[in-house]
Amino acid sequence: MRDWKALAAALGAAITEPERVFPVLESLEAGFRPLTKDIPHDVEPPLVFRPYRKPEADQ
Amino acid sequence: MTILQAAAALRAGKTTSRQLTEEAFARIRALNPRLNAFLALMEEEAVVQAARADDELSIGIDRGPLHGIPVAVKDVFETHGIRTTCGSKLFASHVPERDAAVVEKLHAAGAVLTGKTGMHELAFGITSNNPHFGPVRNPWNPEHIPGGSSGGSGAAVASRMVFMAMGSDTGGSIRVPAAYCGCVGLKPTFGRVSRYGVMPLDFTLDHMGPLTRSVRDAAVVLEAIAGPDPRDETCAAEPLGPCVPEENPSLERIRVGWPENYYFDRVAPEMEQAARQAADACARAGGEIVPVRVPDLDAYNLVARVIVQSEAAALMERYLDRPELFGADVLALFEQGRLLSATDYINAQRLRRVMQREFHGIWEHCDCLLTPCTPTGAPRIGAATIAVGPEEEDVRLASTRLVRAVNLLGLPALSMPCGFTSQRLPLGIQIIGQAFEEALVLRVGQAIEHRLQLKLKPPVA
Repeated sequence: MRDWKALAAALGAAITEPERVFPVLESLEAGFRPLTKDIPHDVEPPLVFRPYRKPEADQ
Repeated sequence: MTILQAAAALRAGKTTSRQLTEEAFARIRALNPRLNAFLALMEEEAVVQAARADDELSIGIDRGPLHGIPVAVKDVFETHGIRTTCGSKLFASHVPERDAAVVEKLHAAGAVLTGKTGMHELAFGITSNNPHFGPVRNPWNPEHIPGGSSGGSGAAVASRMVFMAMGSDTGGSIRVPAAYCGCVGLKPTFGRVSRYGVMPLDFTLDHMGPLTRSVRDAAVVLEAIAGPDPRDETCAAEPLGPCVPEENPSLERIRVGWPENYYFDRVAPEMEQAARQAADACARAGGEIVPVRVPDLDAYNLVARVIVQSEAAALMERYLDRPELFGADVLALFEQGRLLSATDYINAQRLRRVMQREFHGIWEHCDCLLTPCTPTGAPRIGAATIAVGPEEEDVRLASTRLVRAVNLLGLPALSMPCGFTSQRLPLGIQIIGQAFEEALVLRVGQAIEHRLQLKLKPPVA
């Protein structure tokens, strides 16, 4: 898990109410990080996002 | 009265745009002190527009069903020469020199713009409890939130101040206020409606759409505002065919997906019961109710949160050295997003691609999904948590967990009333369709509306 407090300090990012920020990030990371381990290697981010439609040839 | 009814009355000579507009402002003056739905009124301009609408109709110039109809837009849509705050102190003196594309299209359709509706600060929240402009209140019970972030639009439409108000939706911000206020909210497919001139919360999740009193009115507005726009590179060229459903449409040969998992796992029993009534209405209209299993949408919601917080923080970072200009809840979200890494953001977008493909498999089994929009009715103003059955949940996370994934996928979704809580607060269902299939979503919604025949006049109206 990341040390969010240390990260904020290193970035010089002022955190106004730490109790509203760090616990949420810890929870978000706990759910999000495992998901990233299963991304197929060849998947690219949508640079210009378009809703997915089945290609015409398959319809 | 709905837009279509008012349009018919205008053409039958039973009313005028001037009269409709005067009535709208009379209602706004009477109700806005209790509901705080409007941030700014544009009465002078509206009176001129109404007179022009009447004059045009009198000489046979007819711009369609919105011609002469009083409407409003959320204060996130830029309006030429009219202050546009985005519900924030940061933009308290922002007077745009352009109209948003949607505002241009509403003007072209002859609509009468009455003013700008209130909202959650910077469109980044679900309560519309705005620290700078005061809380927007729910016309069904002013001690409860209207939902957000388009809360003023929901309150203005439900209380019948205006026939339609535009909203924006990044994680449920059209659909949730529609559900909590007892009106209809349409989030079109991403790319269907131009984002040009809309103050962004996010680059890849923001959607623009109407809140209305009926499903058919939502369709009327969509036909007016949809279409390509070279000023928004994400705006699609996909043509929108006629999408206003018949009064009593058949759902023969339409498979309505009823989720077996996730959507009903944590909702109030009265919400589930109301959604079942909507499903029964679909079946009575000839639709086939098909049980379907959906992916793990908690994961989708997490990915959407990483994207929205990263993009929103990037937009607002320049202002974060002035924390006194933000409300505490919104500031915390920006401060969280600022600490997420570029790697997190890119991987969230890659996961989005994977999830789009995964979710697309559902359409082999059904043509649309029928789900609850929120787990409960509207929470009380100021409540941090809400009871969902035996559990207490964070208001923001509870209000958005059934709607947020649809923004990640960019799919069209309609929120519409389906019943009431024991406290007489509205409950809403959500109909989700395939990309660019708004016509089908609206048809299913109209079939439900026609059969449920709910009485939707709130106490403050």
